[in-house]
Amino acid sequence: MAASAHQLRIDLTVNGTVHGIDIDPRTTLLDLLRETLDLTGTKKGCNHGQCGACTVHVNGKRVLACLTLAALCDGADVRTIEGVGTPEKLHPLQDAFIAHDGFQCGYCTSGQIMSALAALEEPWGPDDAAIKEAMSGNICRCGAYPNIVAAVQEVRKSAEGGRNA
Amino acid sequence: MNVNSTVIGKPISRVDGRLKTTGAARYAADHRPVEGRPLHAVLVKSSIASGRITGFDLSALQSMSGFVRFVSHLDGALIRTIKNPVDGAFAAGEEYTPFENDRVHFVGQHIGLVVAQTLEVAEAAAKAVVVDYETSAARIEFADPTAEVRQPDLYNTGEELQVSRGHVEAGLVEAVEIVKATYTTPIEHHNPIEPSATLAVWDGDHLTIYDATQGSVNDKNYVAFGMSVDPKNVRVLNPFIGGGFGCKGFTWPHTLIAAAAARAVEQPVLLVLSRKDMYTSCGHRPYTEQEVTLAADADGVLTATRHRTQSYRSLVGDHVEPCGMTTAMLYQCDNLEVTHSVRVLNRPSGTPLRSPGEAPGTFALESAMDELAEKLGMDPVDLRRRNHTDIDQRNGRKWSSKHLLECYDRGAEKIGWGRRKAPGQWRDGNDLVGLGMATACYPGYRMPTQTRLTLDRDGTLHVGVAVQDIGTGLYTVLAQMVAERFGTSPENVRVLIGDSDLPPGPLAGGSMTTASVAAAVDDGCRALSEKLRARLVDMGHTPGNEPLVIDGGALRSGPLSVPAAEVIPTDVHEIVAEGGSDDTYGFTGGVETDKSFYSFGAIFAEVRIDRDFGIIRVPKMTGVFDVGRVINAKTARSQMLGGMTFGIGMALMEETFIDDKTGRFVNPSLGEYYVPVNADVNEFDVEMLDIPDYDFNPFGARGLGEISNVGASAAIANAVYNATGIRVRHLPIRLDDLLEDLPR
Ligand code: FES
Ligand code: FES
Repeated sequence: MAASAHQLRIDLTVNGTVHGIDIDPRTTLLDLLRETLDLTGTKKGCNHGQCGACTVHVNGKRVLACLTLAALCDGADVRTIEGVGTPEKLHPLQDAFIAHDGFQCGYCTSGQIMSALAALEEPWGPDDAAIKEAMSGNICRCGAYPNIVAAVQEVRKSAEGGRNA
Repeated sequence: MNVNSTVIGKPISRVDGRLKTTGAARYAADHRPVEGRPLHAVLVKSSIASGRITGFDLSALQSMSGFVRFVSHLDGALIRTIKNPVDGAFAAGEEYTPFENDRVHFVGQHIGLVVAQTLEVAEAAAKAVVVDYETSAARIEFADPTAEVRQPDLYNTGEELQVSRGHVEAGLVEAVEIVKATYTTPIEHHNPIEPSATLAVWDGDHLTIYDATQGSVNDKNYVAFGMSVDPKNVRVLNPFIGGGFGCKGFTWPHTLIAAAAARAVEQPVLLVLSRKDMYTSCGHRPYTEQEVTLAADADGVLTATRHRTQSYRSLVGDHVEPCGMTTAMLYQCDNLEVTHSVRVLNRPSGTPLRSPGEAPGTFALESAMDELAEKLGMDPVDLRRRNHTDIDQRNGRKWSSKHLLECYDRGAEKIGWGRRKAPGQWRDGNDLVGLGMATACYPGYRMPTQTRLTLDRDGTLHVGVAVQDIGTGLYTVLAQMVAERFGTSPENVRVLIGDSDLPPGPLAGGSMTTASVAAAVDDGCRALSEKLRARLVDMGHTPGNEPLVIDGGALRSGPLSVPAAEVIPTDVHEIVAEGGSDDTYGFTGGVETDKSFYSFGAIFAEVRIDRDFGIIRVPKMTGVFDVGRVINAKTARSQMLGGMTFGIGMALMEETFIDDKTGRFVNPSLGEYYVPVNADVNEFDVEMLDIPDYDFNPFGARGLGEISNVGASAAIANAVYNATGIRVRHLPIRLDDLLEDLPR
């Protein structure tokens, strides 16, 4: 990438792989993932932190990749949708999204799944209202909301069952 | 048709679900050229509403490392002039050719494109372009008295926009109660979460475009025309589209601009629209002012109906919001007048947005029906029943299949309509509670479609057609249709769509894809079946009259069972058949028929309004729909949830503001244009009557993407009235509209 005269070098881990990359200091984590690392599963819906389509995990917490400068991710551990499951080997939450039809066009889905995975580790209550609140930073214009809640609940309950067993 | 099908109507999970949930589904901006990386492009848009460009100052760009090129009208004929946007081969959103000249017609018009090696540089460079303008007088305000007013005869479907029958004045004299009121609906934007994007890759005079479009064939023909190349040399790929709702329906200038830029710089170019670009680049639903007059006799029978819609169009786009088309069709009424007029303004162009006309039109009509019921002291459902008709009021034809009365009954039962009280009388704790309802309807459209059916040596079936799945579930629906015809499981069918090189199909709009492909798949399967039978006979077999089953790698007919690998000669690998239908329904020039085709439904909403703050919530919505045969119960239900969610947005949240001085949209972002989020929606109870309409197509399906959004805003507005006694005649309804007058 010889585009900008001014370059910064960062090292970060993405889905378990370590990358040392020269970046334009203006680059967001979202554009780094998509345009440099070709991890296009993470989507850009607004680039302003308003839709949630770009949600990824940085050091185990959900963040909006479009609002995160890549330069601030030096040394970070990043997980994207590509690090969750594959079409051949789905994560249980991905299975649940399919079973409950938690998407239509699928464009918000990576963000929904990354958000939900993080939310399941956050201190939200067990009821639907809590999950709706926890998931309200992720817009789904297709309106899959009730199905998303159903998918998250299925995984939450089975994890709870696992813990209690 | 096997009504007890194991495939049709079943809640089968999406066949593309694995790709969509793992990030492996590739949308337009996710594709890369075969070699190397694309250049990145960013649009430069006009900041004035009317005038001409007198120059560009690019001095700041030249020193930017990574800046490649700026293209504009100064580059000469990059794009062939498109005189007539709808020349039969394609429909464009605007009647103008990008970069044709120095004219500016609205704020946000594309006037240039920056191409750079990286997105960061392209964005910085686009901001650094200084544009000099000579401004001229602009007409922006809706009521501008100098604006030209037009009364278009026809909507783009060919339907009449100025309708008159009987004598409205005479009908008014007969009436005992008359409602006359003006309802307004705001500017609304589609806001699919995927912004439009185009990756244009040239190889000599061949062009491949990955485009976020609802119509690959339309897109191909438009771009081929604008680029002066043979349509055969253009291939549009759109295997996945991140929602559209209308804004990716007709082709818009940015696609052509990206293609022209890629040719100019001789490298692949990726243009991804910003969210802000989306507000002025691909249409919106224009503001409407609708004056509705309903007159009825003492029994509630309508004696006169008048629906006058005023809206606007841009200088370069001819979209009319056809609000009164529903009114001309729905209720029995001999004295009727429906008119539409548009003011020509220096605003960005409008375009269809999920149920254009029907959604804002039924807000007005169905609110007025509620007001009439109130005046007559009648139950709103009874008033609709009383004016129900089995005849299409526009043309005197019978409906192919109409079960609206059943929708009213089921919906009323499911929502608990009997709980409804007089306005402002139902309290629960600090909440005012109300119930409201509205009729939903949407035309049945069908367009010519061709398909290719293939059987390979493994016994796998393939179906190919140039249609697209914008989230509707079409991949799955096509697999089910083919599986049904060959007595197999959808897993045994591979679906190829989203590629303009496939046999042509319509764009994803007007809720018409399922009905259109139904006829084509039926014919394609018949053609493949005939070929396979002939082949079996050639091989010395005698297939019976039983339908041909293709399952488990073998062809079966009655007692006969032959492995596919034997039926298909080794040297050909597969047997291919094409089939389709040239029939058109619902548009001008369609099939001559004595029937009319429409989907119907009834929507009921319960609202709860906080007595102190006026906050409006919708704890429950019930929709009962008569949309023909449902092909997939799971994806169909999801579309209905989506439409009802759209309805909540329209009723309570969505509005784009325009600054009447500058012509700028004030809130072009998802932070300031509110759409429903997860916490805004609650219980949806959806039921589909599932009564096949075989007059419409061999699978008996009608469309269902748009109807669920029709009537939803009126049902909510009527529920708000029932809860509070406050009639709000504009959308969206906000707490500010209620706060002053809430019953304490
Ligand atoms: S793209 Fe980051 S929140 Fe929308
Ligand atoms: S599935 Fe389309 S935006 Fe959520």
